[in-house]
Amino acid sequence: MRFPTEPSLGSDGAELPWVETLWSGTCPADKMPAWAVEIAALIESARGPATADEHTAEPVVVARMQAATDRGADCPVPPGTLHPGTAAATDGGLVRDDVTQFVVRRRRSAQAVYRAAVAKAAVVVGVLALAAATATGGPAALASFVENWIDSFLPGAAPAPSIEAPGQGQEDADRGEGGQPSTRRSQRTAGDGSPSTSGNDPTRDRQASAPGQDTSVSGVPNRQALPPGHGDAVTGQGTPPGPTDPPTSAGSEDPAGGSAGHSSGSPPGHTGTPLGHAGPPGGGPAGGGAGPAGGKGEPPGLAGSSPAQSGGAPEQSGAARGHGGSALGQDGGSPGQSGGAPGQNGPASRPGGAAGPNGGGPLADVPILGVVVRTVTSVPAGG
Amino acid sequence: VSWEGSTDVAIGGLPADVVLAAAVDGEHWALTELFRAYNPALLRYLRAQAPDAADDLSSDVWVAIARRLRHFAGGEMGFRGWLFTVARSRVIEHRRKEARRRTDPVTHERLDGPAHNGTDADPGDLVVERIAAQEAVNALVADLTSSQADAVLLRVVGGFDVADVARIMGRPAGSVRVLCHRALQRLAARCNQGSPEEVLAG
Repeated sequence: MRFPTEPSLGSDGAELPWVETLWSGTCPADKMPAWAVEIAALIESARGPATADEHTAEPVVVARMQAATDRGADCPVPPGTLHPGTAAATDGGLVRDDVTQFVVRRRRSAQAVYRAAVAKAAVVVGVLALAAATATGGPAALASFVENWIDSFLPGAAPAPSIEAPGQGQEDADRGEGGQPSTRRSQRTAGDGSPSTSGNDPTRDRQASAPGQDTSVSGVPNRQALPPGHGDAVTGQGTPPGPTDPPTSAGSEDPAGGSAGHSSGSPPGHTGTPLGHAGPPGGGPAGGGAGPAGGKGEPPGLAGSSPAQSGGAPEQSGAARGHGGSALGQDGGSPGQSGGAPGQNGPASRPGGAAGPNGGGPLADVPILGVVVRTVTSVPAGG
Repeated sequence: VSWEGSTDVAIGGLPADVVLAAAVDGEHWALTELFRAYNPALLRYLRAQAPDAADDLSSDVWVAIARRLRHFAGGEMGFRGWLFTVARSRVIEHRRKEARRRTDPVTHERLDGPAHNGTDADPGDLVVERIAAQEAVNALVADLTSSQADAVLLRVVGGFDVADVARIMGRPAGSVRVLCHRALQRLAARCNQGSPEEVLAG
């Protein structure tokens, strides 16, 4: 590239000596052209001494510089801590606030990252739990799990839901283990002796329901039927109490309706067992002595693990007992689960045994994401 | 960060190397001396390039310098070149932001009248001396293109030679020389009320 002949540049493209000194403000006036004198004056003024306003920001900027030097680029300073020299030089809160705000912003960012990580972990755990529920329990167990999981977020709800595969309660019933509380929530609510909630709340029965097992709903005695032999149990006559439960101690201790199934040794707080598990087929040990036996050794709160078990209010206990047996129309649920307090259940009970031949009810309430769907779940041989 | 061309220049009465070494260690006095020595020139450069954000950009430049200061190696000329390199990058970044934002911030001084200047000096004197310095800078670059103004400011305010300006701007040295020459043509034409060619030819 050829440079045109210019007064400020030499033939080789380099600046003339006076031009270099002109830009640096050191060119003598007699060494420069006349037209450059005014330019030289401007350059000299531009390179003049510092003015006062150019130092006004010195305390603030120097303090920020020292704070940045101390912590480096990636080393945050705890809030409120500054270098001693910085604090001495700032003369007030301006610099302190400036640096503190910077640190606080970094801390907020870290908290946001933490919250995001926790939220992601919660989502992953939820998905895994749902997958596990689906794999092990089928749709009904999944629905039950979802319902309990949602309930666990409500105030005063159970801390953790339980997942139980269908048929497990059936096996328990076949073994004669009776009176296991269906869920913690139902146990708590039924055990508080509240007659209004323990016997006729379908939602609590739904939690204990499982495919293949009819969900007993108190107050609807005709939906399920007791197998033969349950009549004695319902009426509370002629059936011995549970082997571990002296009939004398029960009634007064368990006004909510002691469960004969409970007396057979099911641990309080056992969750997830569907309603109607308790009681051996035929309702023998759990049957008639339901009321007296249920209260033995158990606090009132554990007596009624489910509405059907607890029997709830005296006026509902009869129906509840009728369902206690009908819940297991296939295997003969224990009416003793629904046995209420002595003197309440017995007289008030209706002859659930009469419906026994009908076996399990053809309809059941299957909760699916909080919506109860009445479906045909089982048709026992007796029906 | 490494700049060559160290010169024996004093900063605040002390050798530049001593001051820079202390500043690298985070000494408060050294940082103060650096600020006092170079902030006027830096501020004039920034005020000529980005008048509305010069003070903020100056603060950002110094903090950016401080964060990387422990990695610095070089002398006074190297530090000055590094300082203006960072400043030029901040100016370019600021212009890009301004082009996207399309706002024209007005300082409250312009709206509410004179503001506290942070000193006890006479405001009249401050205005006069500021005009004497900053207005001279602005007059130098008033009719220049952006590249020409950049080169002239680095040469006049920053005190760099052609090689250093070329390094800061990322241009060949010959390009910087041409920029400075054409800037000088424009300045001469304005001062002598004639065309640059006429001025330089006559």
